[in-house]
Amino acid sequence: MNNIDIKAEQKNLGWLLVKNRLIAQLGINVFRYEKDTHKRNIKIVLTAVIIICLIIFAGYCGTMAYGYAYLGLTELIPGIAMVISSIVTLFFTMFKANGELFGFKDYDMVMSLPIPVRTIINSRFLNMYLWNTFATLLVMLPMGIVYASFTKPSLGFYIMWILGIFLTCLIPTTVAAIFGAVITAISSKFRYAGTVSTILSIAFVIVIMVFPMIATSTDTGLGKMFDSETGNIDATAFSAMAPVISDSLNRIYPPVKLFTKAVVNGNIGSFLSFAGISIGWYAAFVLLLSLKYRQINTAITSHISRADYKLGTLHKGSMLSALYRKTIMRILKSTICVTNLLIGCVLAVLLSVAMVIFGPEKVMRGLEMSDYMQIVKGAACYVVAAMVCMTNTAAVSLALEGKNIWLIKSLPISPKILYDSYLLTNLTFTVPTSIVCSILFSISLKMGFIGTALMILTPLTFSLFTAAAGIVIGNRMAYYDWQEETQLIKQSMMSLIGILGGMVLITICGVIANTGIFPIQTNMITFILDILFLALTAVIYINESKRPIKE
Amino acid sequence: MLTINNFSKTYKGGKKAVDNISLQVESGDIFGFIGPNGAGKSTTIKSIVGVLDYEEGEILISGHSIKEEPLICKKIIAYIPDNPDLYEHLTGIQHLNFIADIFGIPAAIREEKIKKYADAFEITGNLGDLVSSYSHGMKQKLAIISALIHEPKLLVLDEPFVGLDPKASVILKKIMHELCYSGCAIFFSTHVLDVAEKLCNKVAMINHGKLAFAGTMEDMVREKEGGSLEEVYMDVVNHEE
Repeated sequence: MNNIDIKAEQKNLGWLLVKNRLIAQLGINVFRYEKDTHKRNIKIVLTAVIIICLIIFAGYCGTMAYGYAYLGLTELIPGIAMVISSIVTLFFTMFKANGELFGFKDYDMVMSLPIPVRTIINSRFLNMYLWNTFATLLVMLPMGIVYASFTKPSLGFYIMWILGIFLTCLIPTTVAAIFGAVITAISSKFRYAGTVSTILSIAFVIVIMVFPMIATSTDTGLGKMFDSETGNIDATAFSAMAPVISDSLNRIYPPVKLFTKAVVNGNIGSFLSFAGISIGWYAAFVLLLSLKYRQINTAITSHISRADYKLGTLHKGSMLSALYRKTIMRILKSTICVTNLLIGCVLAVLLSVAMVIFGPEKVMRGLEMSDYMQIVKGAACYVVAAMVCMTNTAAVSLALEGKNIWLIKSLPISPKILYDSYLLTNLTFTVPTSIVCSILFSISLKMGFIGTALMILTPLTFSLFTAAAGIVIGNRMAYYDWQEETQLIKQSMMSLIGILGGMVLITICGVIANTGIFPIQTNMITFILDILFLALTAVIYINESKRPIKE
Repeated sequence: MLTINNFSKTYKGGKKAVDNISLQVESGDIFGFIGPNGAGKSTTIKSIVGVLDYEEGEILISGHSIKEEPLICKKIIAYIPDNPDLYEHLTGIQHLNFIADIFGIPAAIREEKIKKYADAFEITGNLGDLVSSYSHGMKQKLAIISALIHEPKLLVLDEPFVGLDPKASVILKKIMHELCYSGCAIFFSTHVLDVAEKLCNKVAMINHGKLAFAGTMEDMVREKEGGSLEEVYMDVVNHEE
């Protein structure tokens, strides 16, 4: 067999692996072969919801581009499209490295097959690349269409833009994979690898969020866009914004400069440089990774075993405390759980600390919301509540039992005690965070007694409500045969509703309280809403406690 | 101790996994439940211990219905599935403490029981390690220990000898005999007919969801005119095909 035949065979093997992976991720076999119609219908509904969300997201990107084009800032569109695609890719890829590239479930089987390691790495990377390219398409296609409709570019633009869609995600995919690999490699050396991995992942997320703010600390002039006396757009301030924003984008992500130069000025040299860097970066990554691939995977899948335990004094605990300890450790030891479920609390704490250290005016200016100070003061309790209540571990706790559900069902555990343990776990994260953030916000916004009281009461109320609602969600939608945690935490209806449902509801309450819909003072509306939701929480809790655990 | 009356289980899609089976397990019995793959053994066992719900028939444990009074029944049952998925994020001792807390076992008793069984199975040194680091056999041993520490009246085991090394198998058989002498009932499924023949005083054979036989070993050999359990088993399976 000559070299070309060998390469063709390897490509086929690689493609077989990719195809197998895509069938699992898309759930194609559920649509084709699942006999349980209920399961199939849920899959269909979930798929439809995801497609709608993706269409809305693409529409939002297109609308954003239209806004920039309408305001005469078309030359910013390519850079913004690229930055958005890259950030989306970075976020979604970083937490996939462990589980997608490394330590995946069928690693043993795949590595024992006669497939070169490089082909295996290529297939895993290609799988991530396909998904990331799809995400890039959702961003860059509508934005490209808007750009083209306003600027009427030459044929070269279309070729470079379409090729750009396929090249844009290469660098961020590789960067995220490298970070994921480094985090995995470092944490695998520790006994409590999961905990170390979680801490490093959260630190990385904070860096990703803070870095653009530091890199773009220059005032873009958005606040000066409107004339404060007439309310009209200030044309001079406006045209001065474009180079500042462009400069900010280049600092966040340097390849933006090359791509922008290529599509805006038709500079083929810049495009070839961009393509060369993207492809070269990827090729170098795969080459280096293939040299250390087995070692990294062996380190991840090996477990430190001391085998030197000596039985000491044991202590008796209650059933509730046993279930609570088990549940909270389950969540804290999972990087996917911590980085997805607890991120709301982390963000709330970061924002509150920033408010106290830098002062509300500076923080609002940093978020380019200086003109909304008064509204923020009135809605602060809802802001804290919305962020904290993104943490809804109760919604997924039952499903998180997964293969261990037989233990819960065969042990003498009443549904009420089980649900109480899930509630307590959820509240362990949300209640202290609510209290701390509320106090910090009250201090920074110099609130009076009533404002402070509501500032504390409102997030607490919604913490209780969303936790109780989470139990209801979990008890209706839980399924136990998931294969990967990512599937459950990031791609399930219960997780989506648990995280976003609370946010949306709290936002609606915030709008009702602050927009003068009712002829009652904001504080009074907030107080009434708090009482209503507390009562609703009690009803939900009492009702759900009597309900058996989902089959 | 365990009474199953006219029990049937149908899965969604109309597949009848178990069809109208009835049997009785008394205190002191070691009851073997045998049958080919897909016969309905695991479905029956999971329904007995309350993991699966069912629509037809009745399952009573010490006179209490597993459907109507699940907590009372589960307090006296211990169940070990064929592939025990334990809490991998816990250490062995944490897992055992979790089970002990669920059953409210006092500290002194749990220390004594854990030491006794962990030493017997030679995994005491591994109790401080994460369950995720355990081999299949070690997980099986841990699952057995967690089933024994609360002194169950009915021990329900699904293929308990799979994955156990020979020494651990001998120890488990010894423990099963000891439990039966003290009044416990054991109901277990197995593919290893030699083990069933040597260990069990009663046996039930299931094929395609239907009970082919249930009774003492002597009655079975007499009724089915076979010399050994294996011959009877092959005869039943081939005949019904």
